[in-house]
Amino acid sequence: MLRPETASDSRFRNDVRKWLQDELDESLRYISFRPPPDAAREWYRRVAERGWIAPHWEKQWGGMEASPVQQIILMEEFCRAGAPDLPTQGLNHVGPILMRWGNQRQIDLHIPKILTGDVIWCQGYSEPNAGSDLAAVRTRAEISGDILRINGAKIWTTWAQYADWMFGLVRTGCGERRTDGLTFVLLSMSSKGVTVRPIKTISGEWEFCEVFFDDVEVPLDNVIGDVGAGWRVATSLLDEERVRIGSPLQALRALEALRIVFRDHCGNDHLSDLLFDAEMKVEMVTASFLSALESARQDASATRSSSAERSYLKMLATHVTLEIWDLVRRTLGPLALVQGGRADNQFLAYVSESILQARKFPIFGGTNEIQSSIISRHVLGMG
Amino acid sequence: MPAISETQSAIIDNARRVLSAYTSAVSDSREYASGSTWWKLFVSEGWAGMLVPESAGGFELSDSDAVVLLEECGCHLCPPWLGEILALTSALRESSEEALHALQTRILAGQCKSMLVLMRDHAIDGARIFATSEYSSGLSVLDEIVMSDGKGMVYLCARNIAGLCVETHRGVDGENIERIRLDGVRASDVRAFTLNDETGLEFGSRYETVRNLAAAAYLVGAAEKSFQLGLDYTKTRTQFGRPIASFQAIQHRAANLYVKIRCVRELVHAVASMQDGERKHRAAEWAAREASDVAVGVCGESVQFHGAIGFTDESSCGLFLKRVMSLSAFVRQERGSNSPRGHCAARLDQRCSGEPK
Repeated sequence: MLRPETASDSRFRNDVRKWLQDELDESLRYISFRPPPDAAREWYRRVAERGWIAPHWEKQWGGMEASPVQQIILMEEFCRAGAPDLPTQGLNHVGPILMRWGNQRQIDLHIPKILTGDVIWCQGYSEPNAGSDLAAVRTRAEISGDILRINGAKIWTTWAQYADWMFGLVRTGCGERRTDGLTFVLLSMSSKGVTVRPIKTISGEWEFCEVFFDDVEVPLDNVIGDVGAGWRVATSLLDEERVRIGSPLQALRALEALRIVFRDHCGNDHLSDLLFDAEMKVEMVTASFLSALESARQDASATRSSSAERSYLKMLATHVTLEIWDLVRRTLGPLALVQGGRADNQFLAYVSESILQARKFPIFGGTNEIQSSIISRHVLGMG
Repeated sequence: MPAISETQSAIIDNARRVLSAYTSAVSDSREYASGSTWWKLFVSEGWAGMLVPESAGGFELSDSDAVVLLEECGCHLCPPWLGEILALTSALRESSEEALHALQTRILAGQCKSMLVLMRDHAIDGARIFATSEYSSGLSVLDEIVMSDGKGMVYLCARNIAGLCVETHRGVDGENIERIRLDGVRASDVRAFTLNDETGLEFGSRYETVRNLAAAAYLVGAAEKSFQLGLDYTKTRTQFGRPIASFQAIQHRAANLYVKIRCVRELVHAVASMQDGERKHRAAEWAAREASDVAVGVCGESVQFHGAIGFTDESSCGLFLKRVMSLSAFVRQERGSNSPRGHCAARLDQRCSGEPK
C-alpha cells in the first residue's frame, strides 16, 4: 500500500473487515458483481443499517460523510470480501441531484428510500440515436395542464426491468442550442404506457434494457429544476460523476480475483512479481482517485477545464481493470471461459462473467473515446 | 496480401457456400449445429483428409490450402476443432503403425470420429492406466481417442471403455471445454504403441505444426471478419451529425488494427509454405500465439467500435470475441516454468475436475 494509514483508519478497516466476516452471507460472495436486487436487497438493508451505504453523502442527508481514505477502505474491504455492488444509480446519480435541485417534497419522498436500498432507480439518458451524443435526445414530452405526456424510447437502461423509478431527460421544446428544451424528470416505472424489453449481454446476463414510452403521463411535480433546463440539472454533477466512475472499485474486484487465482489455484511463490505489478497499477488508480476527490472538495466551483481533466480517471481505471482481468484469463486458461451458472464452481462462473463484463467499462458512462475528446479539447486546448 | 492460387480460390468459394447456412443459424438465432453434424460435413466435403496423400484417400493439398480453409472457418464461426482433425489425419501419415493407418482410413470414410489429445500426468499402475489430457473441445462426440504423451507413446482408446470419461464444461463461445481422463483404465482395453524416436518425433511435430497453423489461420479469419463488422458499423453509425468513421480517433485505431491483421496473416501464410521441420514447427507455434494476441485485441476493439450494441448478445461481434478468447486459451496452454498458466495447471486439475459429465 502506498499511502500511510492512520491508527484510526486502521481501526476502521478492521471494523469493516470484521463486520463483513460476520454479516456477508457466503451465498452472496463472488456470485456476480451486480446480482438482481431481489437477491441482494437484504444485503443493501444491512449495509444501510450499519450506516455505510452512502459513505460519500453528507451527514445532513443521512450519509456517512466519510473521508476519501475511508471511502477507499470500504471499497477495498467490500471487494476483498467479494460483496456485491450497491445500487449506484440512486446513490451516485439521482440522490446527489435531488440534494442539489429537488424541492422538499421530492427530497422527502425519495432520499430515505435511496438510503435504505429499498427503491431501485434506473437512468433514462441514452436513446437509440443519442448515445455519446446525449444532446440528441428525442423522447418528447408534451405539457398538458399539470402533466407531462411522454412518447419515445430509451436504451442501455441498466436494471430497468427491476427499477421502481427512472430519472432521465426528455425533450419539451427546442432552443438555440441543442441542449435547450430538455427537461429532467422522475417517472414511476409502473406508470401506464411504460414497456421494458431486457437486452441480453455478451456475458449472457440481462443487465440492461430498452424502455418504450407510449403516452406515459407524469405529474409536472416530478420535474427537477425548471422545465426546459434539464441539461443543466443532468450535467451539474458531471464532475462528481466523472470522479465516481473512475473509482478503483472495478480494478479492486479484478485484483481480488487475481489474488484468489494465484493463491488458491497456483500457489504464490513464482507469481509475486506479476501480482505486485497488478497491485501497483491499482494503487495508481487509487492514488489518482483520492487526489481527484480532494481537489473536487476544495474546488467546489470547478472550472470546465479542471472538471474535464478528471476524465482521465475513467480511462485509467478502465485500462487497469481490463488488463488485470486479462491476466486472470491467461492464468486460468480455458476454464476462465466456462459459461456462468455452474453451481459446483461459483468462483469460475464469477470470473467468466466478469471477464466479459469488463468489456463494457470503456463503453458506458461516456465512452473512453469521448473522454479522450474531452481531454484534448478542454484540457489541452486542441480545437 | 498473400497470393491466392486457383485451388485456394475454389476452396474459399466452396467453404463460403457450405458454411453460410450454419453461420446464419448462429448469428440469427444462436443455434449451434451439433458436433456430429459438423463431423459429417467435414468428412463429406473432404476437409478432414485434405492434407492426406491421394494414395491414402485424401486430397493431398498443402498446408497453405488448409490455411485458407481455416481462415474461412474463423470467418464463419465454424467449430475450431476442424484444425484438430486435420492435424491428426495429417500426422497419421508419419506413423508406421498399421492400426493408425487404418484409423486414418476410417476417419476419411466417415466410419470413425477421432481426435488426438495430449496427456499429462500419465501413470501406469500394474495393468491400469491413469492419465489426464490437456483441455480441448469437440471430444464428447468421438468414437475413438488418440492419446499421446508427446514422446512417442500413443494409446488408441474406444470412447466407451470402462474408466474413460470426458470432463465437460460449457464454454462461453457455445463450444465445450473438455478433457479426457483415464481413471484406472485396463491396459488390455486400449491399444498402445510406442513409436520409435524418429517416427514419434515426426508424428508429434507434424501434429503440433498443423494444429498450430490451423488455430492461427482460424484466429486470423475470425479477427478479419470481426474487424470488418466493426468497420462497417463505424461507417453507418452517426453521432454528432456524422458517421463515427469520420473521427480521426477511430480512423487511426482502425488503421492500426488493419496493419496488425495483415501482418499476422502474412506470417501465417509464410509459415504454411515452409518445408516441414523443426523451424516450421517452432514458427507455427509462435504464429499461433501471435494470432491469439492479435485476434483477442482486434475482436475487443470491434466491440468497442460498436459501443453498447457491441456488448449485447444481439450483435455478432461478441460471438467472435468469445470464440477467439476460447481458442487462444487452448493455444496458450503452455506449461513452462515462466508462465502463470504453467504454475496454475496442476492445482486446477485437482480443483476443477468436479463431477465428470
